[in-house]
Amino acid sequence: MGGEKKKFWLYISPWLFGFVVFIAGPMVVSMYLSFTAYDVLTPARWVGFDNYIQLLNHERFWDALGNTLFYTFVGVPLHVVLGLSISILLLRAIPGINMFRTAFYLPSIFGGVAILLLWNFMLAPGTNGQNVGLINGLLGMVGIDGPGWSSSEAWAKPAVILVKLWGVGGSILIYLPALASVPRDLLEAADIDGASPFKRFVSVTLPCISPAVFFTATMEIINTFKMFIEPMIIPGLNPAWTDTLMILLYNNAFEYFRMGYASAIAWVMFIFIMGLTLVNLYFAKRWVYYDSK
Amino acid sequence: MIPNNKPVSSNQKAQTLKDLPLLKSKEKVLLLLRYLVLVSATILFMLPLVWTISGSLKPSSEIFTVPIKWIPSAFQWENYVNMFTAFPMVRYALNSMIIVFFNILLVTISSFVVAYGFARFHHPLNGPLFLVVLATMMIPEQVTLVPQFLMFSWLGWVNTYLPLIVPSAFGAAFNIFLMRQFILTIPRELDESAYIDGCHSFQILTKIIAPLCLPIIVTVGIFTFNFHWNDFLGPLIYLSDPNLFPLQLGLYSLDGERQGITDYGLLFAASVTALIPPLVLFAFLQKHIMSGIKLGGSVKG
Repeated sequence: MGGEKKKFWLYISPWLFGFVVFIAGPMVVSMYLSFTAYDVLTPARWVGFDNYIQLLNHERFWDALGNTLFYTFVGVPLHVVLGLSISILLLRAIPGINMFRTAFYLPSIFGGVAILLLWNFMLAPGTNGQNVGLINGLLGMVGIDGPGWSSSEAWAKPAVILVKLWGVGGSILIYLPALASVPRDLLEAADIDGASPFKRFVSVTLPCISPAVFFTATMEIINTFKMFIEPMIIPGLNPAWTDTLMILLYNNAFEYFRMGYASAIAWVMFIFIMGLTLVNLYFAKRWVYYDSK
Repeated sequence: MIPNNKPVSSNQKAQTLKDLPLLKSKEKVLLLLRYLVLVSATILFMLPLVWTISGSLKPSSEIFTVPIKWIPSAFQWENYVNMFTAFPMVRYALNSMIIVFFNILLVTISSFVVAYGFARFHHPLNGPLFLVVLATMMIPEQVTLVPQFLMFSWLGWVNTYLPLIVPSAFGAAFNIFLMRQFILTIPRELDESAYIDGCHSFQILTKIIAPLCLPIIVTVGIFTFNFHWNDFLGPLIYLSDPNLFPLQLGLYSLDGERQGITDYGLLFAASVTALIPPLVLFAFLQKHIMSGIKLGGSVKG
């Protein structure tokens, strides 16, 4: 086929343009803005590291960072373990399996304000047995006195994680094909060698599906760092309990019009995500197994 | 833990006739156990939907009763009728549809064209640039949010749908990735024979590749629909005129203003209604989702 190189540029040109105009360009601009004071109305003023210094002295920043890290280190492992467990349960093609797969996948397609407003009602702790939502109503059925969720400092963040975990079924799209491609003969060999089901899972299945686990964990860490809508619609009684860095960024950029300060927050987030991803990649070398090796 | 799919063959030496029924009954018990776990977990996952649908058909006084009333004492279908007069539901839903429609159209076409370029044309920079595409999946959009907003406001696009639609015309990294993986599974011989028959590369794309890629095109379409139907941050930042609000932002403004709505049944009905379109789409197209995703090939991470 003639003019391969020309055609390559022609076909990828939409992405190339988008990359320059919507990603690379804005990244350079936001880097510059993070060293300025800019309120949109008056020209940007160079202030050096002022924004970053202010940020580190800002109590709300440490609250938001702590919350974001809590969601990452508690929420993401739960998300991976639960998603994987459900996928293992859904792997074997027994009669009616499609119905079960659909049931678990379904919640993941609801991600907007609507479902979160409903979750607000579901999490209602109630007062003196009045206005009790679904969750504490269910807990009451089994004799547990449910917590105050968003209205208590200890349970406000777990409430947000619980809501996110309801959508865990989205990850079966990644896990199921991976589990299905585990070589049958390896499993049988382990079986013949007398390995218990658990041992087989750890030494055969897990290495084979490690790229899929790595992929979902990485994407989930990034998604958690971007978390905005959940704490926005289901805030704690004191927002400092649940606010994420993304909420802090939104408030500064679009409510106080502190564009320079907001850009500094964005870059701090970016550095954190990069750091976590690199750590993730470093450990991946030890536990993620690719066929090509 | 692991499904043991070994066929029970009757000619295995280790099995005497006496063991066979025993094995079968053991398998039956395991299968029963599997169903028991599946059914209870499914019920647990479905309860939020059941509870909210039932709540949307109750008089407000019955929603929060303890013990939980699963079946309303009297079905209040008027919740669904009244919401149309209480909020501008129809306008919000139409606005959402407009935004979603243009995004699906643009992002599917642009991502597909780009994926074809990466999957089929040799160039020394093909590999490195594709890595850049993958890397952009890792870049959180917050880093670009502020400059993008400044750019769109400088263009005078704030309070229009343009900032929510135009970026889709230039492909989306995850879609490009999924589509490239799918195109790689199509044998090149098909391209070559079409080329010999006198098709040029764009005709090969539209006549040969596109029909075979229907599963992944539909999958990307569904993902795009769900993302933009549920999107909240974009409309929140760019839209201030209530007449332009999509459904999610409309619901948020109802809740945000706390207009003293104590008629929870109405709020439930409106929120449940917002869940219907993704649900219907999924019901009709779900068989494509699983077949569209091919993660094999040269994926790193």
